[in-house]
Amino acid sequence: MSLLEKAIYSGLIFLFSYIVLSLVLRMFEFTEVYVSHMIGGIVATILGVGAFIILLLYKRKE
Amino acid sequence: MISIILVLLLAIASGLLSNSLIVLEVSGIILALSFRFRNMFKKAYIFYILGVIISATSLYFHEIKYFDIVTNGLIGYGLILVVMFTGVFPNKWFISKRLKTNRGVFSILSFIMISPHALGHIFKILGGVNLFGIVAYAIMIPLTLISFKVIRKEINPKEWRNIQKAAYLIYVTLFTHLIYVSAWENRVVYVVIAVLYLNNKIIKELKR
Repeated sequence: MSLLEKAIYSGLIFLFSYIVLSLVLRMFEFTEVYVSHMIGGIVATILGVGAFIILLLYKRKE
Repeated sequence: MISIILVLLLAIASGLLSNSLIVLEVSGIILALSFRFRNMFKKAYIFYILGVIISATSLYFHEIKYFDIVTNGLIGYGLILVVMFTGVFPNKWFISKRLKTNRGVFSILSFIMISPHALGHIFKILGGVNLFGIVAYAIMIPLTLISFKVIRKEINPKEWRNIQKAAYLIYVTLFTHLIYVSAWENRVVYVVIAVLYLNNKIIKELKR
């Protein structure tokens, strides 16, 4: 997998989790607008960065 | 050299300087330290632990004005400035050789020291949020993680170097953030630094 692919996949995970989480928090009115973005941003950053690091360290067995 | 460091520290402690000048002074101190003490940053983990302790303390006691230098992110910016300008100094220079060996340590330390500023604003402890600041901090996270030697040696060196190019994006967003939120007298200094960096970086790249 090339570096660009790894960046795109982790970027997609970041966007997906950010949108889903902040939307859910707002739709069901669990939190205020700011807090929903904050929680979404933090969780999405952890997931996105985690996925990127795992993809970087992952070596396919030959 | 030690007297220069002491004078710079005294100038910061006097509290008479504006934020931009404190950033420059912090960079000056780091430069002088790496020039004078060659092996100072060899045991980097001591500095990381110290940095985490200072960051956590400053965030907890953010109302004490002596911690403003940390909670405003000035030490972190100073360290980033050193990392930035290491890339534009001519490779032959003695100081650039010294700086390049410790560049990774400085970038990790800058992330640790800028964290109380970023987290304080995200959790609304220190005030509002600026989008450029958050973007810069978010990009810093993966770059800092892969700068640790344990992770770095597991990654393909070519990929590692390519990922580190994202640091230019950090510089752009960081300076936009600085210019956007600062007072006018600080803005002038930041614009001058940004122009100097851009000018010298272009010259260096064209000379290759």
